[in-house]
Amino acid sequence: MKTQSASNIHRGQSKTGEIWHRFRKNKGAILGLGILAVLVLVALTVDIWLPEEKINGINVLEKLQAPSAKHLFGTDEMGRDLFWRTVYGTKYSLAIGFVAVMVSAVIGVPLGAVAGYYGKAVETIIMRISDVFSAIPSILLAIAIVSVLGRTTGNLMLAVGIAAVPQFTRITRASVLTVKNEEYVEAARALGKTDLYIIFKHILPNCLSPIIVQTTLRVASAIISASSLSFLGIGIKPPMPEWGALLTAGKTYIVGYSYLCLFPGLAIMITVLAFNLVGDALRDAMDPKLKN
Amino acid sequence: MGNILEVNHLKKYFKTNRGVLHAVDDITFTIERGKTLGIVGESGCGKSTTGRCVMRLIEPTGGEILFEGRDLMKLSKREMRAKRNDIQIIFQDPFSSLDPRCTVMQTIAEGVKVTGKYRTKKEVEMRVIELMRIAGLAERLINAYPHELDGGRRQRIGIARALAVEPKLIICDEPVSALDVSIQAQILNLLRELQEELGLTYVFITHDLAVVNHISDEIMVMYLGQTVEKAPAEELFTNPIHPYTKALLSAIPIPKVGAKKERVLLRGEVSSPINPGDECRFAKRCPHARAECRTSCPQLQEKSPGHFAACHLFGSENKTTSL
Amino acid sequence: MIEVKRESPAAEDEVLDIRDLTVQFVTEDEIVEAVNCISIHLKKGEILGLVGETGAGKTTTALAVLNLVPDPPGVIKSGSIRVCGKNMLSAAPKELEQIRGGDVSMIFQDPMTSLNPVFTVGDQIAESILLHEKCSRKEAGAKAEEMLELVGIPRERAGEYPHQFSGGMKQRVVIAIALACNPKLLLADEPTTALDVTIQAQVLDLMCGLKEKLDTSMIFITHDLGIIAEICDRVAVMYAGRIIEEGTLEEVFNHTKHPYTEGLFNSLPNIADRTAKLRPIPGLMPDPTRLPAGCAFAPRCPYAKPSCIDKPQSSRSFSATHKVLCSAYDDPSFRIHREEA
Repeated sequence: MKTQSASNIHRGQSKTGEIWHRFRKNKGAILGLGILAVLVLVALTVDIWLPEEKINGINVLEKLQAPSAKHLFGTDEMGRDLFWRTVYGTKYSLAIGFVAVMVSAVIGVPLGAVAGYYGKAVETIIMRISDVFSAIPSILLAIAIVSVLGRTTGNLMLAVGIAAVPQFTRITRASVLTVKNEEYVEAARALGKTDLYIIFKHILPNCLSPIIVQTTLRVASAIISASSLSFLGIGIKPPMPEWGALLTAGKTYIVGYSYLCLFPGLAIMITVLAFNLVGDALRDAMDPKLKN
Repeated sequence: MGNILEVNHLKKYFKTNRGVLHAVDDITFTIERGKTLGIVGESGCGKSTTGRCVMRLIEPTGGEILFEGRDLMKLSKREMRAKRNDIQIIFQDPFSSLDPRCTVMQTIAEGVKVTGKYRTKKEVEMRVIELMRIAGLAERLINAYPHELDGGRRQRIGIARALAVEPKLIICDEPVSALDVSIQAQILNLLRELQEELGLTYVFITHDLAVVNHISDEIMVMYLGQTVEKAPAEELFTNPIHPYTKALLSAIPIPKVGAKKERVLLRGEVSSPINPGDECRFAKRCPHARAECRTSCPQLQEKSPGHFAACHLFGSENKTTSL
Repeated sequence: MIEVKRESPAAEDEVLDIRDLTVQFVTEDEIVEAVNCISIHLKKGEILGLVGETGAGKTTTALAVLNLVPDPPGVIKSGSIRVCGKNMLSAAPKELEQIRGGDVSMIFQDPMTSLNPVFTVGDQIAESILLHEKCSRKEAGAKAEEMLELVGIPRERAGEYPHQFSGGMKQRVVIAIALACNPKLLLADEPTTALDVTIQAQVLDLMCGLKEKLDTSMIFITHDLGIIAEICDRVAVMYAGRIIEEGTLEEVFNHTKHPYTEGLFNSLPNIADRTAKLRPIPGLMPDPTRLPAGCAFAPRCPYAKPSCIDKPQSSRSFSATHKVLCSAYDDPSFRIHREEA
């Protein structure tokens, strides 16, 4: 019932400018963006300023020490400083989390959109294939992909990403189904717009909410999946630290040396939280209905 | 001026789990250029499906759609897309017919760009503003989002979007049903003015008889996918033939004290449009139904010049009078 | 019949008594005055038509009668509501449950959403009876079948589910539920708007018949003046939260006084004269968060004078029943066009 409020309409702003304007008002979003910026900065530069000695330097004399001023997060079973290992792990974990999820979204969303929009045979084929993929345990799938493509970090990300594609396909298809029967889609068809235009211009923007939520949540599981692969020996090669791997390694000592799990776990949690904050704010900022 | 649209034996069947749903079953009509054909009927009678079939938003199962002499059914998907510029549609629900993420400018500009006449950003914007003025929207609303506007203004955006491609025929699918009376009158007047100024032809689909009477030159009454009666507006209201039309007319509440008149109250259940048999589809509710109504489906016949009806009763009456 | 009842002004005759009711919707940054100081009195067996456009405050008024205004953001600011002498605003929750559905019940616009799809219609009617009357499940079931018959549905269909009924039939079921406990007051919020005209005619016919049979009072909310003319005894026209004209059907329809009511009539397509040009009310409903101090209709009113916007409207009675909220009548020679013609 915002009948007359048309007077306070933003004028002459570009769409991106408008979204940024709304995004900025969200304090949580700025916090999340800040955390992500620091993490990205660390990930990009860590090779330059952090000597390998600090990361992988074994010192058996100082093994399994509790957090102290010298070793902020304590040390692991080989006396390596957990703080520096966690810092260095940012490089891998952030990349894996981000790239893997992008891979799943970039493949899964269009597939789901096409399936939902066209329906009939196209839908059946896409969704059945997607069902088959989700029936295979994702670890197994990832192992298969990595062993076929070769054991590199890039392939690892790809593998983790592809394993999560069906979830994106499914979620996108579901929301496309609700949007595609709206009259504005019909109106666009009446104007003679092509299907591709309609899908990208009218349907997907109105399906964003669930997709964004899914994307931010998947970052965490991507990091964990990658670590399981590392554990199986087909992920990041040890001794290079990566959060998932640190977590897995720490598991053995969880009784008595719980900090070994605590800190890498916290790192994952904070990253996911930051992604979540940004994702939520982005979703709200892109929805003109929540403008005020 | 001749007929702009000629629809012959249009059919649309949907396959459902329980059988074939005859949504539109052999509809034939023509519209003269610059006139308005009103299609009236109750929910589920196939009036909206007919409208969408005419512009092939829904693929018809069969029939012929001659638009300015060319059969639209024979066009390829691509050719049809181009042809859509000549036929546009205005929707019922001003809430769902506008993309919530597009501003007024973006929504109308979509249509403007389709014409290919306006190339630069500036030209497009000028045209959008002109269209907004035609549809009675203040220019300051150009960057507003649909949810910031009321139903009447939203419907005006829908109208401006349809006008943007400079169509010759507009299908108005219940354009005022969701609006308040005072706003409804504003939109009806706007549609009439546009028709006079731009020489538009309308197919006006509605369930509101007072509205259809006001705006149409000719009215077609539909019941469960079939035409039951078709006549010039004046004639249909003063001299209805089909029992269904009579019941419809008598059901309109009239805003006058003491206007209560003898009402034809319909009894019985509505027949199912799924796998209909060879019978009059209105027979189950018809107060005058006879044996033959249940064994054969009546055909549309001309009673007096321009007045068609599909009813066995009228047919036999005619026979008796001619005897 | 109604006239006879009016002659004996016994207190128990008064079914509904709303006095100076004001309802606001308060959010963080704005206050919407949904209902503004309205008074409604309803006697036994009377049907009052409440007319107005979207956002006029009709539904809020009805919800206030049940003390069901969503809170937050709704706040009943002031006023009193008595249903059959019981104060709705101070009643305890237990008591309210008894009054709702017992003394007063409501029919909503959309029959599709007001029935629960997983229970049979018979069970849904019986449920409402069990809540308010002391009887066994079996008796309630029997009564439910009776109610179905009353609204013209064969009693065998009590065991069917809502999806097996058509729209008109569903609305009949909703009416049966509402009437199951013989309420003294029925609030009908656009009960036929979602229905086709021929079905609407059937439902209206049914409601009129039931009113005569059960002597229920009714507030009939609608935007359709045709329906009002058909079934109501009295009419109240609402605009921006106020009742701007109130009177018997005859008074409001044939001796219209308020410019807004006149505007409504002019907006309707005339079925008898298809060439008549519609004269819609210009402009839009005012923003309910920024109502002017004076008459909310003034910006759209063809008779408005500058003073209308700032000065509160004055109320004027033309008869014991006919009341209008319009300052123009301060000038004794003032007439609207409709009356001159």
